[in-house]
Amino acid sequence: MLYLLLQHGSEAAEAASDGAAEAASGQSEAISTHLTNWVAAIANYLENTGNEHAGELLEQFENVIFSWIIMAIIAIFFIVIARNLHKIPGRAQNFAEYLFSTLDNFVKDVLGPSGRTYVPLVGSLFIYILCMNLGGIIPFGHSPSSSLNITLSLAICVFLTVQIHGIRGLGLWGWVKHYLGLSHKPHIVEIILSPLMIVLHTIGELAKPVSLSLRLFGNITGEDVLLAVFVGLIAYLTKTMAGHEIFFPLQLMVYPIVLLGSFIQALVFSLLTTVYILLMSPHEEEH
Amino acid sequence: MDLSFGIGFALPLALGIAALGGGIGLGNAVKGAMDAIGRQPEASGKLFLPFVIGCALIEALTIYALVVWFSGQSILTATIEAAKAVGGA
Repeated sequence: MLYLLLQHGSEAAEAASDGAAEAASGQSEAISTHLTNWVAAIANYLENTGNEHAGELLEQFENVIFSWIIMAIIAIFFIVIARNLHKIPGRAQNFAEYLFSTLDNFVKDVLGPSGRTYVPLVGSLFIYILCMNLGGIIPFGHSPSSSLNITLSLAICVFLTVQIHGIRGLGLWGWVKHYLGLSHKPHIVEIILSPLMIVLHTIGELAKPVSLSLRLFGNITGEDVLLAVFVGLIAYLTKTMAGHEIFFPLQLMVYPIVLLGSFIQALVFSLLTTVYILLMSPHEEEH
Repeated sequence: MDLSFGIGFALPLALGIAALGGGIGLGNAVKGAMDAIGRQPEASGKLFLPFVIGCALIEALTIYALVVWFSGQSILTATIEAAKAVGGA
């Protein structure tokens, strides 16, 4: 297994330092912009030994496999803590309680006491997205949120939650009135402007999942590319200067930026979810 | 001058202009936050969250340009491959 990883990784490094466009499957650049991970290494091995379909299938499911592994780790961690609750908490239970109370206070600050129903959603989004973003830092790991499929599906879940919260909280007619821009006692000017307001509000509402998904996707893909370029840089430089690659972990220099970016992106995703739910809640004398 | 030249010239320029606008916007946001913290240092805890939200929203516009870069890069490599195939064949 380690042999497969090293073989695939060294193939990629060779292709990087040789600048060989043929070996790097269509990328005609000197430093490759993708780091290998263990699923891609297995898929590469399968393709090279003749199982073309199995290799391609495995490569397509790379993100799903990593997100399931992260889900399993998070779920097992928290279930094991919740099964053995003590009155005086140990370290793990203390950490879980701290995490929960921080997220709980944060959501209740924004949404009010009735926002308790959305603490599971926002908290799970935060923890899951944070762990997914950090998956790219682990050696031979891959962050699933660097693929638009995963971020778009999370954003669609948030969008549906906000709409259903609007329909349940405001009623069906109140939800339509929110899009028409009519307040509680519609003024005649508001009724005249309502065709314009419905276009504006619909486009604004549809822009929210698009911007959520693209923001997370772009940031995490940028961090991935940054890490990969820093890894390939030393191989390329030492290959051209010394003839063979010298190992030097230059990507450690970049880790603080990647950690900060991952944390902030997870925070911003869950924060914006909370704010969108707040904007769709019944508010008096606001419009 | 063909398609690959056009894309290859425009993509880095687009990213640079987007970064310029994002830098100016973020500079204004941080200036506002610094002014507010300087005026009332004990409010820095309450200011942190709106500041981070504002910065993320501004940053998102620059990230859209990065997304254009990634999709444009695949178009660029496809165009170069097609041109090589036509030129070689």
